[in-house]
Amino acid sequence: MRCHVSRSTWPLARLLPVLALLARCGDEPADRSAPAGAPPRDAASATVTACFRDVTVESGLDFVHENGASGKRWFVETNGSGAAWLDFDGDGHLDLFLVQGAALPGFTPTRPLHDTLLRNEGGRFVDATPAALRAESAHGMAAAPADYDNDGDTDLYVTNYGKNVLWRNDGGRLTDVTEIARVADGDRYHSSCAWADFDGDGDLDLYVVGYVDFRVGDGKTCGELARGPDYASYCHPDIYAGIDDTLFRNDGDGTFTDVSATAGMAGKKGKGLGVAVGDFDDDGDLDLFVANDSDVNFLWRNDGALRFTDVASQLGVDFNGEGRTQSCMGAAFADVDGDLDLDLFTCNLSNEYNTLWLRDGEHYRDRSYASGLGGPSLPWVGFGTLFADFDGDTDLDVAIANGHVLDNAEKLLPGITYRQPAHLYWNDGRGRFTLASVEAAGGYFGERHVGRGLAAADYDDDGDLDLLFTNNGEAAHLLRNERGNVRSWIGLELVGKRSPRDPLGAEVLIQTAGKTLRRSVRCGESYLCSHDRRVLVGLGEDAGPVTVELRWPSGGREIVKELQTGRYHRIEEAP
Amino acid sequence: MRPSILLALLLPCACDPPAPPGAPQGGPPTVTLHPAAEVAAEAIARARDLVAVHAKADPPEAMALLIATFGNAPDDAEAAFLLARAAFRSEAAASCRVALDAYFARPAKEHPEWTAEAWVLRGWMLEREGRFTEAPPLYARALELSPHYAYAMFRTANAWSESGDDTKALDWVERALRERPGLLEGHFLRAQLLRRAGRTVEAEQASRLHALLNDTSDNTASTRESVLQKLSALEQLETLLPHWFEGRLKLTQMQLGFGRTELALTRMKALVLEPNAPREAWLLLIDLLRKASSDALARRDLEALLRQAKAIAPELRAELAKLAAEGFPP
Repeated sequence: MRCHVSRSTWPLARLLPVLALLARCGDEPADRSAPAGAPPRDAASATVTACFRDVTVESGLDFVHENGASGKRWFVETNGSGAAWLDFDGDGHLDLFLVQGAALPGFTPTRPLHDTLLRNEGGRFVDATPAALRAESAHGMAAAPADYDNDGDTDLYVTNYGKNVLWRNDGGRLTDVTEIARVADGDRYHSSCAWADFDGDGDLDLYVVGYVDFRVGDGKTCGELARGPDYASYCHPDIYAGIDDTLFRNDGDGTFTDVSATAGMAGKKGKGLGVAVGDFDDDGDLDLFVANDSDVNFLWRNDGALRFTDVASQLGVDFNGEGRTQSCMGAAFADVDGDLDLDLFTCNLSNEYNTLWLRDGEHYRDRSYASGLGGPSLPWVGFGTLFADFDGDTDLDVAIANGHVLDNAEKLLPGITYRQPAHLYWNDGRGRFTLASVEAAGGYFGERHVGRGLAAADYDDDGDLDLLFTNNGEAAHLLRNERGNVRSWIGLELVGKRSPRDPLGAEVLIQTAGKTLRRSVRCGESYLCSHDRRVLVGLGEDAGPVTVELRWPSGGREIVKELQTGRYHRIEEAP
Repeated sequence: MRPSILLALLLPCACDPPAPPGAPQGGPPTVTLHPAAEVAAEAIARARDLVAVHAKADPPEAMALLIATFGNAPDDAEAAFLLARAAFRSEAAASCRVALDAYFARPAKEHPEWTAEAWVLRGWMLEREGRFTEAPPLYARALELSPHYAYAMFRTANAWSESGDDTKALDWVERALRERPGLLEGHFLRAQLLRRAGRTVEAEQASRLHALLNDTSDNTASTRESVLQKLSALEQLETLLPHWFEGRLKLTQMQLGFGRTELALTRMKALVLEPNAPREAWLLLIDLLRKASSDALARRDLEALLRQAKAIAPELRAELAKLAAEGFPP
């Protein structure tokens, strides 16, 4: 495979004439801040780094997102739509659900617009969109699959600009059960959502993030209008009021109850875009982080019995380390420095760095710059994100989908572009990251797109994570990981018994080569997207067998020994 | 680009001066160009604007302009200083280091504030590399030159906080806040430090101050609800942070926006009589006095207020007295 080499830091492109001179004299100025200390292991080891290949065409993935843009710049056009990996037909292969936009006033679509379900047939994707989905024409935002009724197949919740939809899966047939289940959540502007068993009763509850109080046709116009119509732009979220998020309790009978008020969440208005779920305080229940856009973030500590307390301020993640709000989009919990606690990450607007908070005892500290994730992110607008061990060396690397929100950013903002390259950062094993070159990451990382969603899955079951990018008003792209499985790995498919059948948020501790790795069944995370629910763990040179400790959402703990590496294991929770 | 600069850029590497003492080994090569005086002056004037703190600032553009004009290691002190600042804000660490080395090779003795900021940039870069314990001595150098440099104090606090010495950190952040009561990040850090020290009630108060300050920042919502929230925050802060003159001026401006001119005038008359009231407060007061009556009456009122004002810098008193005596500019 041929990968392209390019550098993509902000000032460099604008300094090319000067750098040409300096390059003749030796190295160019090192405008990419290098971390202190030894060179990163990944960067130095070209033979074992991951390299993604764009397989969109050869996999048959043919999905082009429409955002309904007509030049009127309705606010909803710019945030894009997500995607979800799910085994819809129960054949053991991960299918792909892609969320579509919709026609907006002033825009006439040239083709029917609806969400799309692609069946995975041995690595090729075939349109299998059921008629029910084809008839649905909402402006879609996020997708979250889960077996909410514990009947053995994967259902699907889709958030919209407007009412949301819950699709119940009955052996491959989809039924809209939104009204029965009472989860439409009103005619509002929704964004991400997450399923998790927040009350530990064995079924999945649902958290739905609300964005802002925006209505198409609200008459608001923004930008530098005095300079002419080309300088009109999408409005900043600052001009809209934030709205509440909603927590739905699964009543276990196919219906849900809005418990936001009793949970302590009602009236807490944010401008949420991303949500991440994890047990950050290690007390055995699942907590929630909500990334708000130009507003303070929420960190909802689960106090049990479906009651939550926002401890973002107490723990120092309401603002960044400079005490400022950021335009947070995607979010993720992950143990990035290998100390077995959950760190926290958000992707943000350009000129605001992406923020990494390291868990330090009881508190969080903003270590964005020291980690190497802050500085290089400044020119870019990050949305979807994912911490995963892309090269199988046991530490968590990170991928980010970038794309500006202003479709005429080039006119309005010096040095900023609408289409932007996705990023891949290597973790050196100590929580310090280096932006991967396009050569190491793959050609797609040298292209520019209006990146929004990022959903990862081992869709070809070869032991490494592949990446699906959704782009606003553009085609989605599938990148196959061609290098991640050169090292040892193990995959776990967890099935709950006392926990929900989909034990989202379950923690896994893996003993390998003298260290312990903390991973989880992914839940929420990224932006508008849902990842592969299997736990895929890179083991470096450890050929195993390995021992894993499972921490189920029910509170149960199990240790499973002698698991062979290089394959997936299906593990059912003890009844 | 001017031909002379283009020519300079095309010169062979023989233009490189030897690496300055203390330059980091393995760093980029240094290039120093010597533009004509008018070209240099023009570039510096433009760069000053490009690295100022305002919406149209463009540090990468400033960086490109300065390097094209002076090379990456200017021997002009201001160019080197501006380049270091632009490179820092462009996230160009290596270029910033080279520019700082160039600056420290020929620091501007008549501008100790530049040298102080250069020390802060050095320290801040170490912090960004995670080398927190190495930063405070550099901030100390800045404070030797500029003892009231609140941001140097804040960075010292941050470095100590990240180094694990919360006691020193709290001491330094409180010093910073005494110098600059409206320092948003200072209040945030103070709240974190108090919380970590188990001083929960004080931490909550500090968080409250920080949240109110955040509500007053420009990066907040512009809905009617949020404008009223900003106004309310400024009103509360007038009591909670009485020495934050900038906030009280903002409050006055907002009141003027709401048409509450009398209230604004009363507020300014009281404010200028407080010790160390800033020049901006006096200028706003003069503006209000002139709008409220005639220039003649405004000059009389100004004279009366100057007689009452006790703690006022002599230069400012002289400037204002001259205005009262000779009249306001049109």
